[in-house]
Amino acid sequence: MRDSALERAFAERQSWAYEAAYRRFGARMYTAALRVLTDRGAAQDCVHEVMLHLWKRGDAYQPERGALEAFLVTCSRNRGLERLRRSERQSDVARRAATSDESEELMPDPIERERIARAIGALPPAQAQTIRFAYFKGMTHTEIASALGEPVGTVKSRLAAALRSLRRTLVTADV
Amino acid sequence: MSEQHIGELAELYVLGDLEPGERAAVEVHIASCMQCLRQVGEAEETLLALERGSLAEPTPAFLDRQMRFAAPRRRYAALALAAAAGLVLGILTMLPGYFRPQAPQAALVAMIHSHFNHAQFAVVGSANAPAAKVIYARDRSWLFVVADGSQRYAVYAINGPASTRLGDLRVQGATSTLYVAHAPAADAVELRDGSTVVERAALR
Repeated sequence: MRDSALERAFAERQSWAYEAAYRRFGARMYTAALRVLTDRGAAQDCVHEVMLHLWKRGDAYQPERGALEAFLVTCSRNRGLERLRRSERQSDVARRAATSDESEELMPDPIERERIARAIGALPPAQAQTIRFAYFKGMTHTEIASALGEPVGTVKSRLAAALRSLRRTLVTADV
Repeated sequence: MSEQHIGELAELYVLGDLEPGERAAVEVHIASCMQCLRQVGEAEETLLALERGSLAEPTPAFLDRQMRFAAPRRRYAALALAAAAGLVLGILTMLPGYFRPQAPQAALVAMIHSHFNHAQFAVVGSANAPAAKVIYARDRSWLFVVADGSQRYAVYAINGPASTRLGDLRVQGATSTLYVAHAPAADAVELRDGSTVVERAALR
């Protein structure tokens, strides 16, 4: 459930809201970074970088955008992806594509895990494979296109369509 | 990007899949276009839904470090946190042999941030079962099972005739625990050894 007072205060750059958002969503932000980086220390640094960056910038979030938690988790994941892509070579991408979906550091939530698997499984197979590469492996649409031998434009459209379909089953269905 | 809206770039932006120039263009656009801002927000909420499949426990130092982040309001925040932590400690110390430094951080964080109830498990039949409790959010958004000893019982949520396996207890020193985020609706929780119900706790 969204906390509109917290979200407004965060958008107004009130320090207590940053602290509260960190305490409330820090573990989820950490998980998103860890999923990408697979290193606990790097994941924790990544979350701190995101919070400090947002604090300095001050205007990145507005409540009209959507849930603050979703915004922060996305920032954390993407900061992790930036770090990862800066440090790895092309051969690392191929290795990442071949590894299992989840780090052993992550504790699965069996109910949610099953729900997500069912939602992805209900997508057309090409969309399901594309979103698995993009979300679980952190691959770009260019890397996915290369791995699948598909045109870049096709992969981009599939990614967008897959995420929109997943919203209907995982988010809208909850309301 | 079309002249008016960002289209599928919204999803690629959220997936961290744009070049710096494209990303900057999206950020400029959504700063003045509410429709595209919401589209980005919706994609972020979908990403969050995917993230809910698992949770990792940061170290205690992780949370402590950020408490210094908002120095001007720290006194107030520290008092509020101390009050919440005191309440949690009060309940946790009633559990035999439970509270110890390696207690799951995710469960503690959830307790600090919400109101919760607790219920004692009652032994079913003549099983030689350990003392155990379930602590759960009043809105049933999470639950935390803790048992004395190192038995890896399976934990089930019971809702009328339906039962849902939530996972297995994990050994945490002298106790065994299971934390479940987004717990399903339930009027009771059971600990099972195979197909045998060992203990049951009714939820209010």
